[in-house]
This record gives sequence, C-alpha cells and structure tokens, in this order.
Amino acid sequence: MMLGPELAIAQTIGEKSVYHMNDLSKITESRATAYRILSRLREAGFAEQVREGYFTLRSSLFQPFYLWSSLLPSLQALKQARFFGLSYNENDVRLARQVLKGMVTLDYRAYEITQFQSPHLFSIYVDKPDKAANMLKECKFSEGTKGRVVIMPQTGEFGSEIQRVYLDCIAYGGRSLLDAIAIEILHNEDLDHNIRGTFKAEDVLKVREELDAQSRTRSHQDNL
Amino acid sequence: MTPNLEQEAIKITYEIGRVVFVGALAVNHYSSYRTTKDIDLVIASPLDEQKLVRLGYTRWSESKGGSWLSPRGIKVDFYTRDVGRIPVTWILDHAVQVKLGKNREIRVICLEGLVLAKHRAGRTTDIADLRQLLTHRGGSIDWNLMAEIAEALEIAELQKVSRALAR
Repeated sequence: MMLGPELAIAQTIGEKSVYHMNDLSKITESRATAYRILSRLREAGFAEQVREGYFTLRSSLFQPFYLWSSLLPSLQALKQARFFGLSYNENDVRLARQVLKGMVTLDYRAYEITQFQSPHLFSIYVDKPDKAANMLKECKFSEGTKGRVVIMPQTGEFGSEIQRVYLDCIAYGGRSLLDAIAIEILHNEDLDHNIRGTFKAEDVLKVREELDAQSRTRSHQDNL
Repeated sequence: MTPNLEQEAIKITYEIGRVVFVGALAVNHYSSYRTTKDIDLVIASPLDEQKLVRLGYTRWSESKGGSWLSPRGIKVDFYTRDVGRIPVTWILDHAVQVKLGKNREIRVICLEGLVLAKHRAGRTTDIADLRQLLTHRGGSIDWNLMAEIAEALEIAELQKVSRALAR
C-alpha cells in the first residue's frame, strides 16, 4: 500500500491518549476528509478505533513522513497480530518459546539486546500464523485481546534482525520508543544510517542516563 | 511488580522511612506493564543529603537535584514538593499500602494521583502508561477523590478517555 503525503496532516493533531473524530475534523477541510484520512490511517496500522467516534494513534505517526514507508511492514504485521494467553503471566512466554519457531521481536528481543526495559508482550514473527495459532491452542492457549503471546505474519524485509527489531519498536511506539533509542545507542553500527527514527531529546537523555546507571549497577554487582 | 525493583523498594523504605513510590513501581502495582530500572519516590521531609550519604547513597552527578544512586546501584529520583503539580503532602496522605510477602510492605501513589500525574506529564511514555492504566483500571477511579487535585476540564477529559478505553 502507498502512504500519500496528504496523510501527514494528521501529524498536526498532537499526541494524546485518545482522540475523537472532532479532533481530526478540526485539522482537515471537512468531516468527510477526516473520515477518509482516518480510514487510511487505520488501513496503514497507525490508527485503531476503540469506541464509536473514538480512536487511538500510534506514536509512530509522529515520526518524519520519509520514514513511514520503512515502518509500513512493521505496522502491517502489528495490525494482523493475534494475542494468546493461558496463565496470562510469564509462564505463557516460557511455554510459547518452546512451542513456536520464528523471529522474536519487540519487548523480549529488545530486552535481550539492550537489557534496558523489562518485557511484557512476547511477540514473534511466524511463517504460518494459522499453524502457529493451532499449535498454541493445542497447548490450551486461548485467543483474545489480553494474552501476552503475540504471533505476527512475516511482512517485509528481515535481512538485518536488529534493524527490523529497531523499526518494529519505532512502529509500535509508546514505551517501545525507548527500546529503539537504546538499540540505536548500543547497536549503532548494526543499523542502516539512512533509516533512523526521530526522538525527543528528553527521551534520549532518559535512556542514556538509565543505560549509564545500569552499567554502574553491573560494575557494582561485579565488585561485590 | 518487577521482583528486583520490589526488593529495592523494600530496602529503600527500610532505610529512609516514610516514602511513597510514584513511577514504574506504582504503574506495575495497578497493571502489569513494562518498567525501566529506576525508581521515583516522594518523601515526607526535605531531602537529608547527609543521611543519604551515610546510608551509602551517592549523588547522580549527571542530573540536578533529587537524583541519586542507591547503595545497590539503582537510580532513585526523589520528589520533595510535587509530582505533576500534585502536592507531596496529598500523595503521602492518600498513598496505598502494598504487601510484598510476609511483613513487608511499601506504599505507592493512589490510582487517582498516578493517572492525573501521567495525564499532565503527557510524554509519549506517559501516554502509553495512561492508556494501560485506564484500559485496565479506569473503572476503579474515584472521581470524587480525583476532584481534590484535578481541574474540572481535566476530569472531563480523563472520564472521556476512560470510557473510550474501558474493556
């Protein structure tokens, strides 16, 4: 799918937890245009309807427009994500790791490569989502909206794993943006220099400070 | 809550006394979510730097004011006046006790204070935390208690968001 520059007008809406259609109408020429833009944003994976008239936006919408095409495969995968739960705790992740084969991304992979932020969702790219879903169901997992195990179809490029995890984190947005910053700081040489996210200075400072504190914690523990 | 941070919170409470945890520890009390390895807390009295040094805390040189490293090497931010314009005295008076194992407890900011602080902060990560809190705990908010610290417009906005996100 193509993301036309006309959608970039949505970036002027500003970051909030939830939006009403009226918020979007205020920045477009008409209500009809607002509905058309929202429909395209939902199609791309930037927006999600939560109640009649209300929707949420991923913070990745506020990344520079030139980055959107690089984020699109991640957004499309996130849009098709399926959630599974059994005990709805860490045990689900342990079991899913044994059952599923694929590339782990987002929270758990970011934590493995940065040790920065504790993980919550176990997201994994699988070859055949239906087959993976059945394997989880055979282990008594239920599909719903609250599970911590997330299977996603493989969409787009997987040439460089760290690059893909980095883009997934930016696309997911929210707290995952901090993971993306940590990846950029710790694995700068593994990332494509032409495809970089834009981050707020205060977030970069926070990540730098906490990575620094963690390295001091580790040296403190080593000295005990 | 994240086990290591819980242990750290117990130790800090033992060392410093009347403290209330306001950051990731509090968010995780209300809804299991992601945390970084730092701790934010409010204290009842002005920061006694000499006491902190005696306890083995060291000043976090890169930051100004209330950022310290605990004796275990965890970064701790102390708030002594307000958190998101919510007075420390109010946070202390309305804190919630959380039992962690036998005879161990810590205190965290009440849900109403935490939601308002996140709403006012408005950064990308705060918005993510706020969505998580309102999606899972929006129905438990005491709006009368919230009215003690929030403006009418803020309450209207938060009620709207809470209704939209409630599962």
